[in-house]
Amino acid sequence: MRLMKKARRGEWFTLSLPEPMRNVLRHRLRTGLTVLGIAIGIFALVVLGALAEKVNILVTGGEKYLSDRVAVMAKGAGHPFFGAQGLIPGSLADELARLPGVACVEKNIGILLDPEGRAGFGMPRIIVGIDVNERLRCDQVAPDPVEIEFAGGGWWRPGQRQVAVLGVDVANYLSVRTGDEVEVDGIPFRVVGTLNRTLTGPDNTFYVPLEDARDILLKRQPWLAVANVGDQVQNIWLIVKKGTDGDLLARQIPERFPNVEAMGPSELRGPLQTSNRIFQFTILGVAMVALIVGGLSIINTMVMAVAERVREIGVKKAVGAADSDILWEYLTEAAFIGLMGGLIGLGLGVVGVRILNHFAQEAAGAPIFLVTMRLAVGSVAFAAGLGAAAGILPAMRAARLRPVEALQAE
Amino acid sequence: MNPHVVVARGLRKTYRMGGGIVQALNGVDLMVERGSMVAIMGRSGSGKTTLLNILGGLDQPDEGQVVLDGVDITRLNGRALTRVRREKVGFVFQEFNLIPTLTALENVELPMRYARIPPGQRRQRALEALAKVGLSHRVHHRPSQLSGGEQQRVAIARALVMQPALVLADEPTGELDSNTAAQVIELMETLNRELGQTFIIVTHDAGVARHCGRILKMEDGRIISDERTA
Repeated sequence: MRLMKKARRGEWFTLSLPEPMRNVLRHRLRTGLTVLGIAIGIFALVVLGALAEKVNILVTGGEKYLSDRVAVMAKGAGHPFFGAQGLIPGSLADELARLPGVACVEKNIGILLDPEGRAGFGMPRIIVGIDVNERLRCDQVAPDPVEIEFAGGGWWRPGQRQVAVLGVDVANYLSVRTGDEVEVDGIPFRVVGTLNRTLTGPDNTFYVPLEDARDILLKRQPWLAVANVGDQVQNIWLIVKKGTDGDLLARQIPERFPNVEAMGPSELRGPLQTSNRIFQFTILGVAMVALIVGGLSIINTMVMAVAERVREIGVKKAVGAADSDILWEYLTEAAFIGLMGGLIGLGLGVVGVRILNHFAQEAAGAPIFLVTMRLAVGSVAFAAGLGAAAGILPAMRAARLRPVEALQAE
Repeated sequence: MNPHVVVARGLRKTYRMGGGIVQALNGVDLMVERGSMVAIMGRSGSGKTTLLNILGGLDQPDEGQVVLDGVDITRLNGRALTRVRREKVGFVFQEFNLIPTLTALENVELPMRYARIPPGQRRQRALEALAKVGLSHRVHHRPSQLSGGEQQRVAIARALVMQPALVLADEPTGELDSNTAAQVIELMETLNRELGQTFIIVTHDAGVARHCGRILKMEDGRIISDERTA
């Protein structure tokens, strides 16, 4: 009795579906295996895509941040985002601020939070020493394109020492909140503010007063003490006014200040774009594998479906189906197989990303995968499109069958 | 209105089969009056089915002309021929040929779906067609849940639903037991009498042919006798 009820419910469900979907369910095992193949491809696409999206957002944030900036650092110091070494006098900031086209300047010292520790994915956790006066002034004249909002507290007052503002991933990693105390290299810091998630650089940043950052630098590299690091900084960031060519400005700076070098927005963004491109190519590679494996299995399934239903196609043509009707029916069926694979793959991918992020959070203090709406919609649309594309040849074969021959098929 | 639904002249058709050439139709001339019920009899290979396929626009003759309901279908391209099949012809096959995933109602709706008739209207018309063949109580059943006779009645409803000028039936009782076969042919006879529906029925069964007002006999691709019984 229960079995009969179940069968009736199954029958009702099947009959509520449009014809192409009912056709898909005719051979459940065969369809199931094809769908599984696509789902595995889309799962891989979603997981690696989530990794790429995380990197992409990080890089996009970095690119936005750098779009109106010129970095000034010691000769041969290298890119400020990739462990620039060397110091320059902080007093240079006043002279640089007077250059035409410069809206404001910010001195900066950047140090790895855990020089030998585990790093978060994409960007290591860093201590950034800043002059809060400069930060507040720059926020007014040239707001940071990456919106920084406080989840709690705020910037420290000018002149305060041993205080810190923490990005969300650093705060989570250290398990501290606003008002807590945290020690770095034996120096205690009171957390006066924590930031909301930006999905980019600030999430991994431990902001401290410039002087405190210099103290940590001296502790790590005691030999610098002999070099009298009094007002030395690693970089001076120039935020240029709208309409000013930052790259041109960067080229002019070494001519006036021979002991420093400068990078404009284009040079600063170059390495970020390169690394991002590598990730995008990785995703493209996975998409290609999904395309080949999924596409071939759909073609196989649809070729068999057409071969089995030749007589039905003949009947449909006899009762008035045009070639385009048959083509459309088989394309829809193939797209539906792709869509099912896409949805299942997306579901598996989201679950997989959650699990992986949980482990990443435990291991590195920050999630390393991000399933964005465009990734989710794109993956499912890709799967459905792949299905339709793979179904084109079998569907065309079906559409071109001559009714009189199709009706004679066994 | 032309009193003849079908006017066929000089139909010839050859097939290549196993390296040889088979003359399936060898000069067939035929005129079928509107509202008549015609049986075509003959041995296997006599050309009956080929003639039926050509009259219904499923196949084209090598030579000759078929005017169906005033339209010369031998001059039409594929798309126009599809429209003729949809609007002017209904087919009933020996093996019923219902779509197994569709219910009886949906099978009857099929020609209207391809004719882009709105869903509400086509449902109404399909229900009426099923009522005419006495299957109002089986509309939501799938072919596998219907008996052979019921399946053939669904097929007849599908053939009638577009109100075609001509229904072509190829051995419509070939898969049925004698009682069911009698019921099916009687149904066709009733539809012919009450609706004036023209039928051309290919059959081996003399019992079926007796229900038709005219019996054609074919041999070697030719009509060798044309007998009016009523």
